[in-house]
Amino acid sequence: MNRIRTILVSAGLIFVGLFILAVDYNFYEIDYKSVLEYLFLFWGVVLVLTSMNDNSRGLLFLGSLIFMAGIVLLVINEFEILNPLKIVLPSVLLSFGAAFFLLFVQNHKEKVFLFTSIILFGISILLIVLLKDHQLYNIANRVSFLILEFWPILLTLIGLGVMLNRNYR
Amino acid sequence: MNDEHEMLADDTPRYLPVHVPRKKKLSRSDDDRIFLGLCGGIGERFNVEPTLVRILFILSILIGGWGLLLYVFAAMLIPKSSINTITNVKEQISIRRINSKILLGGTLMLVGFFFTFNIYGIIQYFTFVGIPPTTFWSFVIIGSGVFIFTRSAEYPQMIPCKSFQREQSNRRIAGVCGGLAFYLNVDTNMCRMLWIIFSFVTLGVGLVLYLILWLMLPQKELLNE
Repeated sequence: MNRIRTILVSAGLIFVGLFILAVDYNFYEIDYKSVLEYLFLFWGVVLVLTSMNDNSRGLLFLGSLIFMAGIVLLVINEFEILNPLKIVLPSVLLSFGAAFFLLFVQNHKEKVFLFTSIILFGISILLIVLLKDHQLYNIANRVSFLILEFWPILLTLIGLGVMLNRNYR
Repeated sequence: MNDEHEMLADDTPRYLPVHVPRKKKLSRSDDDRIFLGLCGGIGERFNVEPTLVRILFILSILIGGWGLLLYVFAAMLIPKSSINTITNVKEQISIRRINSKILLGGTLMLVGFFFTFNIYGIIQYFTFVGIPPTTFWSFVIIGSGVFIFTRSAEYPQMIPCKSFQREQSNRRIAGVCGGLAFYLNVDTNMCRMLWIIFSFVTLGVGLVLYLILWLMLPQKELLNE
């Protein structure tokens, strides 16, 4: 792992831990979410910038997703949106589109990533502009809401999958 | 009786060199370790799969967190092994990779269990070694920061593959997720699961994307061909 990335990521984690402790013991009062969004932006930038040069594509992909998640959190928390659930689906598509686009930026030879990101951007714009009141769009948002509600079960399943698939590739 | 004993003493040595294998001492493993090598050491000593011991320890954290405290105390009492049983560097790297997967999977499961209990309102009955859950999690986060800082240098860098192709050997349907996982140098199962969740959330956009990539991507040739 890149040394600067290690230092910044671990420093961020230590900061989060200390911050939770400080809030827990009433040293100061602040909303967790507002700190989390800036931390997501910080980690996203760190991971993207440091992974661009050293071929850590997995971290580049993860970094861009974290950065986009930070932006979505920032928009939801700092701006008044009538129905925040409506932006879940386009945000997911835009985030993955951005992640695939960064994979293309990292390796220009892989045109397939550019194509994939264009498809994802296109569908998300289509959803926002044309299909915003379509029944399908509402169903998708309800499904997203379910995922947001029951994410710990999914996390347990992913953890189980990683543990059971121990043989390296 | 005495004569007999003396005769034995003259002809043969009194203590015959019987090759009884010495019992291995319980020690912390230096080769097969994630944190302090305790589970690896227990596995080696009792000839049990270390992963099983690790899973038991991970699950024991959920029982009031006492398993974690027991781990730390046991690690303080049991000495570290001075003998390296695995001399092959490739094998060592492989064990470290598997261990890092167990650590990642275990952490995800632990966090998942905790917040699932939170959904169903069971979490109020849990305290970790007498401390509240939020304090416990803050220590876990600080610990993981320190862990990443200290251990990341030990893991060797992998050289990623140059092109994104469909995997032929590691595939379920068309090998798109296998190829992407290989390109990104991440766990294949995690990639597949995330792709399924992505398809589910986006009402099939992931599925359409999969089909497009199936058509677009070339298939990787098998090594022995």
